[in-house]
This record gives sequence, structure tokens and C-alpha cells, in this order.
Amino acid sequence: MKTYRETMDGLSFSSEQKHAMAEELLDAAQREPRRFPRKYTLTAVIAALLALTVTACATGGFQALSMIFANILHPFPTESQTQTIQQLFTPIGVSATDNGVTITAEGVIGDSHSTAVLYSIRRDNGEPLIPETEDTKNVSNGDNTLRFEQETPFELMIDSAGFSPGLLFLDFTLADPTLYFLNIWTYSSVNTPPAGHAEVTFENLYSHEFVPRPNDIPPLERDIPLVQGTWNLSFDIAYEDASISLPVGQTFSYEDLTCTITDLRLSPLSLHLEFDYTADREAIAARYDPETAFPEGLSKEQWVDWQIIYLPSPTPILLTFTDGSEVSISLGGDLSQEGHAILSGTFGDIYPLDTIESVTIGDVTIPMTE
Amino acid sequence: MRPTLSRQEAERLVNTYSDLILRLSYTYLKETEDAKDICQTVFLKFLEKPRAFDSPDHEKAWIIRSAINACKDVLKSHWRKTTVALDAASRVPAPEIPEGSLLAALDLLPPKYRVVIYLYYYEGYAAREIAEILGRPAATVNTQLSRGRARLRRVLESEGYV
Repeated sequence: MKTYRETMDGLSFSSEQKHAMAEELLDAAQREPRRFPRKYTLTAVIAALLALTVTACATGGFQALSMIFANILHPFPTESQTQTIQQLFTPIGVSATDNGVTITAEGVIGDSHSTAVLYSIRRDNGEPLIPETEDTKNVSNGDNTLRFEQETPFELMIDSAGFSPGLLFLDFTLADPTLYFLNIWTYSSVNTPPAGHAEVTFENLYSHEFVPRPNDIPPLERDIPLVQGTWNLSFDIAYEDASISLPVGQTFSYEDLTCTITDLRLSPLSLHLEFDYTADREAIAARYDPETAFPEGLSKEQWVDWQIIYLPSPTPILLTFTDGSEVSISLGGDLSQEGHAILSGTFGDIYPLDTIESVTIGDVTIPMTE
Repeated sequence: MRPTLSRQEAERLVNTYSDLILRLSYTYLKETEDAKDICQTVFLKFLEKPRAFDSPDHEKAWIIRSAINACKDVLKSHWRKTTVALDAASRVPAPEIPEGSLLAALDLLPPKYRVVIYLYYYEGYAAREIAEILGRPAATVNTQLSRGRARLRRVLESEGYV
């Protein structure tokens, strides 16, 4: 049997393939450089759609915002994905203005454990939001992360632990007067859709630039101020819960745990899983090696407790689609000492429920209910 | 406007990094079909914005990070699910995965774990270096390595890594 190293050593392009790639690279490099087309095309189309809404009916703006929402998660979405988002998108339309810049909570999509709010940020005079300077010229190149100095998380609204992947911005260019971003939060311990009244504050938009460097040289990091201001928004969040519940009661094993599924909910944007478990503490303790144990400084019993509580989510967790393809899902959350696990995760994509064939947790496959 | 690309530089990029990008693509995506496109994406991005690298290691770190970002874009792409078979001449077959092998065990881990394990055991980077390349906290990489090693301990031992 080949070792891992032998297998990876065997993964290589032939000399003919490399020669062909070099020729193609030379040919491509001689053409005029272009930005990824979706940036220009997408923003131009959306700008045109939004311009129509000034004099046209409100559905034009609704459709454009739904399309923006869909494109943040899945550039150039399919018709099915766009329709899914349009069906679920609930407009909000609440704004705050400071320093000639307006942030608007445009709308929300949510399910039993996650909310995704779409915001826009624009200059009221219609000029590009981010002036192009020597410092800002690269902020849209994908190596930079846009953040606010203060960003009140929606989790303050409800009594639950939550986590967020950070703000997701629609691809933009420095010529764009409006930027759009999603703020997604997933909650691990609520059993009703996280809705209610939101008080959200954004302050001072900036770009975090991170350039790694080798050996012991610290990475180059700097924050580039982009837009100054403080925006306080107050709005109600209510939406149609996009989740469905799947059959439960199945048993699966992983990491010396025997688990029984007690809750499994699926929406086009996220998955929520709960299970009861019993741990084979003797088997876990048998792996204890005081020389390599992580974290350090724990007794054997404490280390076993830590192994159980901080286990990664079961793998694999797979969505299998009706076309036969599948995608692996990662969840966040914790296993408590009381023998119950609560895990949730957003996909970072849009999976219309009618395209999903089944969900696999470990060695158990649960078909979608009709 | 991009700087003029010489044949020598084009061949240098392809010969130095295309196999690295192929292995990263396979590690992240568990297939090799998109590797050639990912190579071109990374190389064109490299050419669009000339950077002053301190050393070859610095340049390689940039290539790795860009390749991983390109893999993430592929995962999100609709075209990945519906694409028809590519020209066979441009494909490298994915390796067979023997049951019980380290590769089979890695297949069960999420992509970010697989990448960390690949960079540590195959490319020989230290955890701190991996953290710098991937832009993650060192503690996160250490935890991922520790958990990965714990889960893969038996197969790592059988292949002489531990």
C-alpha cells in the first residue's frame, strides 16, 4: 500500500501538461487584465435594477435586494437559488445616517437557529463609498477583510450563545457608491426563531490587511480607515422560519461516543443538530499520553473531560443532492458534560431544500421527508 | 496593465508551483478536476499585482494562500456541480484511496483540517508558519493539528510520522 507521501508525490502534472500550461499562461498574460467579470457585471446590473426602483414599483427593489443576498452567498446563483431567496426574504428598510453615509438594514432571512440580515452602506451624494488612494487601492482584491470597529452582535437580543462568520461583503470595486454585506448569526440554544427587536450599532468601517511573511518575521498587518461614522439602527426582526424538521431517533458513533439524534433541522442556509451521547471514558483515557496531551497541565480525568467537551463536530456530515453530488458541512457548538450536544452551522451557500436528497451524520443517512 | 511575462518566468511559475497547487487542490476539494483552472487563476492573480517578496519562502506562502482561496471559490461555484468532463489531456487522475490508509482517514476530516495536516506532514511547515500562511491564530492551528493527530494517530504511526 502506498504511503501518504508516496501518494502525494505521485500527484503531479506531466511535463507535457506543464508545457501546455505555460503556453496558456503566456497567452492569457498578453491579454488586457480584467477584473473578475462578476464584480463589474453584477454591480452594474444591480445598480440598474435599483435605479428602476426610484420610479418603478417596490417589487423591483425587492428583487434586486434578493438577488444581492443570493449573490453574496453564491455568485451568479441558479434560478432555484434565486427563487428560494426571493420566497424567504423579508424586507426591513430601516436606516441611519452619519457623516453623509447611510447604512440600511435592507432585509432578513432566517430559520429556527440562524438569522442573516442584509445591509447596505452608501454615500448620500452618490459618489464612490471608498475614495481611491494609495492606501485603499487594493482593499477590494480579496486579501483584505472589511470590518467595523464596533459591531453590535444580534446575539445581545436573545439569551443564547451564538457565533458569526463575520460580515460577508458582496464583491465590489472602488467605483461603487453602495456596498452590501450580510451579518449572519447562528445560535446554539434557542428553540424558537431568534426574532424580536434589534438595536444594532456600526462604527467606523475599515479594512484589515494581512500579509504573512516567512520564518520568524511577523506578518505585515495594518488597518486602513475607510469610512468614519457611527450608525445606530433600531428595527424589528420577524420572518418565516425557513427550517424543516427531519426524523430523529437514529443512533451513530464517533470518537468513542454513542449518540442518539434528538433534533435535526435543515433550511436552505443552515443545519441544526442535537444529540444525546454516552462516552466510553475508559477508551478515551487509554489514549492519554502525558507527554503529548493537549492542553497541558490537566489531570487524566480532566483531560478526558476536555476531550469530550471540545470534540469537533461529528464527521462526516454530508448533504447529498438529488443530482448525486454532495457537500461536507462543518458545525460549531459544544458537547455539554450532561451528555447532550447542540451544534449549528450556516453553509455559506444556498441549498434549496428540493435539491437535497439526504443528510448523513457519521454513519447514519436520513432521507429528506416529503 | 500587467508587466510583460517572459517565457522563462511563465515556465518558472508552472514548474515551481503547479504540482504544489495540484496537491493543495486535491487536499481541499478531494478531486483534481479543477486543479489546472486553479493554477491559472493563482498565476494570473500573481501577475496582476506584482509583489516584492522577501524570499522564495515568502513567495511560496503567498501561492499557498491564494490557491486555498481559489479552492474555496470553487466550492462555492455552481459550475463545479454541473460541469461536464474536461479534456482528458489536461487532467491528472485522482489517486486511489486504499482502505485504512492515511489518505482514507484524512478524507473524513473537514477541508481546513486536511490542509493543516498536509502543510505540516507533507510540506514540512511548523505550526507557527502554517498559522502565518493561512492567516489564522497559532492557537487555532495547534488545536487543529493536535486534534488531527489524535484522530489519525494509528495511521500516522503506521506510516512512520509519529
